[in-house]
Amino acid sequence: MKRVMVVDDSKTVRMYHGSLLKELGYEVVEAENGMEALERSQDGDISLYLVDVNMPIMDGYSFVQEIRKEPSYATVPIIMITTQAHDEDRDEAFTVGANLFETKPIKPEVLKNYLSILIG
Amino acid sequence: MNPLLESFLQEARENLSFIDQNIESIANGDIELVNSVFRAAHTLKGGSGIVGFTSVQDITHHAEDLLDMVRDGNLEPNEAVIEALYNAFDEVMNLVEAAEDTEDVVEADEEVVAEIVETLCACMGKNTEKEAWSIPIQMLSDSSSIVNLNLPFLKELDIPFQEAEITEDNFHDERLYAVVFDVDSSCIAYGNDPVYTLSLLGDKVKYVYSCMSEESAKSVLSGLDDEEGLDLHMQITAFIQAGYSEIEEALYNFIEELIFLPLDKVTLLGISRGEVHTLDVMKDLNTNIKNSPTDVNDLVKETLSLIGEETLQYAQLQRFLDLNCKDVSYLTAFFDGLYTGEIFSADALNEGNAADENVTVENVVEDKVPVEIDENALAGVKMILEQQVLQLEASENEAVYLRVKEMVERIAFTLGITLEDVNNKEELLIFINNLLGNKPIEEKDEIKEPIAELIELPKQAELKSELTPEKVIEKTVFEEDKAESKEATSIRKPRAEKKRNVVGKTVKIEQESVDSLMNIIGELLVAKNSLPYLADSVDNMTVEETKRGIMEKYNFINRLSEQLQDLIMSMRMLPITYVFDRYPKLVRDIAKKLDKKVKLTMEGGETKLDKNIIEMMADPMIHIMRNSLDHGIETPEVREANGKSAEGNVTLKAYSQSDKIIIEIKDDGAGINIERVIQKVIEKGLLTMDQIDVLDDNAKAELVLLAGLSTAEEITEFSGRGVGMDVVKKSIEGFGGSISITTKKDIGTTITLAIPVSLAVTSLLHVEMSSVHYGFPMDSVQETVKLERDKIEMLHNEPFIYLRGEIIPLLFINSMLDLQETKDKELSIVVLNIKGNLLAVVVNKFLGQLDVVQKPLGGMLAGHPVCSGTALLGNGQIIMMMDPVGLLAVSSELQTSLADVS
Repeated sequence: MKRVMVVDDSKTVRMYHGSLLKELGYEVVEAENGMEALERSQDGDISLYLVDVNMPIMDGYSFVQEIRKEPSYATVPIIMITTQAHDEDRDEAFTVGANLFETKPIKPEVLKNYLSILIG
Repeated sequence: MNPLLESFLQEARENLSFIDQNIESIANGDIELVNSVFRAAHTLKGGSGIVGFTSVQDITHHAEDLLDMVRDGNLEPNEAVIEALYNAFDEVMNLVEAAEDTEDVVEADEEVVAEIVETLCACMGKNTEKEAWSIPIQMLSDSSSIVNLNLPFLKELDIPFQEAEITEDNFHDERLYAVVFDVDSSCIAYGNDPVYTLSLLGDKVKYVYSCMSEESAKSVLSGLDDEEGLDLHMQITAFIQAGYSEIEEALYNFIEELIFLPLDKVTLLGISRGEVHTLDVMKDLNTNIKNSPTDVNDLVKETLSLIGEETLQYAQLQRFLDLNCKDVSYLTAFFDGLYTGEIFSADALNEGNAADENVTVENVVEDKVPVEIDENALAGVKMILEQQVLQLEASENEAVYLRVKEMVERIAFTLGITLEDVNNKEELLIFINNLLGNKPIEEKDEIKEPIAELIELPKQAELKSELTPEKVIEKTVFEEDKAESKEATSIRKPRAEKKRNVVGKTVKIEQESVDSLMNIIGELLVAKNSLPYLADSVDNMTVEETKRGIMEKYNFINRLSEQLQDLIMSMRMLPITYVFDRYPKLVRDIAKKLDKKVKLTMEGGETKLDKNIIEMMADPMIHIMRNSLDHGIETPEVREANGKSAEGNVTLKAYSQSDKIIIEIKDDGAGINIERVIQKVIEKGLLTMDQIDVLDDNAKAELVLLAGLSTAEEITEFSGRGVGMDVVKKSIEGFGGSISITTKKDIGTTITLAIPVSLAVTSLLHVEMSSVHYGFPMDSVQETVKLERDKIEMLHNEPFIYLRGEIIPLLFINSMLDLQETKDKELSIVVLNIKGNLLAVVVNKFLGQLDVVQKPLGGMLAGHPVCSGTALLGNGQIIMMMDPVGLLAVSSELQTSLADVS
């Protein structure tokens, strides 16, 4: 089963994305912040990341920047999801290495489409 | 409750409490703190979006923007800003609480939200675009003239409407509709203001006609039949330039009578012919087709005869017949689209012939391998590709190029296309744009355009599904639900405001506790299983052995149940911050209204208390705080005149002391005016001067706790209605606490509450009187003694005993409770210490110490003078709990009555 990591400091959001992903048949790994996500990424392959921007300890931008340095995660699809939908935020997300940028809450069908295209 | 909502509410509470505690400090310029508050607001916003809590989302969205400005240093966090934030999060808290009560999302009053948002925006220096919405409205005497509108007239209105521009291609976008709906008295009565509703569409509304029925006009004008002026009926026609769904959404309240007339040339002509309403006919057709899909062609032919030949719908239906389309499921969508004015291209109709669940896509590349792709997925492809273009355009970075290329390859692979001849950023851009169907400037025709078409198709599919009647029905039902719950909320709101739920409904439990719980349960199972084993072996055991065996098991189970109890108790414990958290805002609010300056300091918020006690304490504490602020702290002028700082200090302090938690509320105000208190007490005849004279200063101050006393010179909104402190005292004592006051003139007042840590388990001295079991709370039992009957002395006919030089009144409780008098020579006596007053009570037998879960007396027994509750003994017998305070009162009554007799 493909593993998808949901990185968000809000339990509600993790639950929401988690349940969507599980319904679509993915295994879900959760992390509360960037630091935890980095640690949990060591465990094994993550096929895709859903990353929030604003988080304590390590925010989404720093996390994406860090994870892109790992050779095994250099090309893994990363979708950044945030409630701040300013253009600067999107640009920043792309600069640090995200593949996609979406506003919260992401619609189930949109997420489904993305996942089916990106990781099958 | 839906688990997602539950989780959100729990999280919201945590975030709100954090915000509440820290919001005042954001003025201190601590960036990290502002950041944390911002993040909490941000999380709230995100969560509320997910659970569909629109009001919360709305408020937090603006609050977040405001915090963002503060964080970036673009806004000085002055008093007004903090006030606005306070109010905003306060409303959010109300909503969260309401949602907890109803277990469902409760939307706030729109006006309330609008007001909050407006204040927040005002702080940010933004206008809420709340400028008066004005639109030309013309009253007509009769609706038929609207139907006869013609093109030249529309042109006069300066509406962006040109004959030449109306083509099939741009019908999918925003367009000009004439939307007709009826407004009757019930609409207004239900609060559906059509003008307000239209204003939601802003300047998309180009022109509004309204015409009133003759009767209506008469009745309104005469004002005779209709006192409220609500009995009107009118028809409104609004010219709106917008998408179909947008209008539908905005005019939701009128959806049932909403008529859409897409204003293209043909439709207008169709209408102006004055025939049967074209769109109504189309609607009927649609329904008929759904009912009998086999007769499609006949139905269509029949319809053609009903509508004008120049109409767009006519052309569409004609085309449908020409193409001889067979796929009914596809056609349903086609017809759904028809009556809303959607136009389907010939290609779409053709595709409809071939359409089935999956669209078969012809490959663009030479090898032409057909790939099956879900229709919806194509929409996803489009969205992803669009973002890739943005990325490429935004950055010159090589890494970005590689990443985008990788992503595009992935997508191309899914589509069955290979990425050829792409060696640099420009070529990649061209490739993507080609896929998207955006023709780039440098034509590169080798890569063909089919994807674009491919992508258009699902878009239409989406449109179809949006317009199916099922959806409308679903929405209506939902809307009704919402209306109901709104109503419910408005009823319960006042109550909710009255009694706030201090603590959420959930308790956080540490993993460790759950683990130990598991261990104990495991052991308990073992203990349980050993009992049948014991029962089996009883045959071969002596009575002594059996006894020992049972006691062993008892000890084992006893130990486990004690552990369980401790653990559960500890889980119920919550830090007292839950109560403290509410005070910064309370103090601010009150101080502001009273024009006083007050600084609140809180200590010991981490001290833990039982959840129930925390809930019960919240209200009395508020009362005390209000008193301190209102009567204690002086106005800045008075303070300065007395040589104090203008800002008053209130300190809240909690700490534990043996099995009690002590809470101190200390102010450096004027102190309690003891003379006035005494004067009042005497005035109201509550006590005599003699009784008061023997008291020390603090005891005199504590007279304010007497019922029916208010010393305030004037009654204010916050305190001084004379039902204050005695209620506080009662409720504190109600859960086994006590209250004491120390005060010094001009130095200040300290109110100390001693609260039991936990309610649930009481330790008792178990005694027997006339074969009935009674218990005395251990914390008021000083000692137990056995005394010869002849040691009882009499003083003024009252029995008392000497014990280590103290004279203690003796109470024969048996006589009091009408029980059999004790005949024993030697008396068993319980000496109670009730807040320093000693009382000796004669009982029959001491049975030992006991821990029980106390249940209050109910029904007719509630409020019994000497019994405070009951508990169950191990053998199922009931034990009555004696109330030492009650006993003391009864004993002094007895004494006075005896004294009177003598």
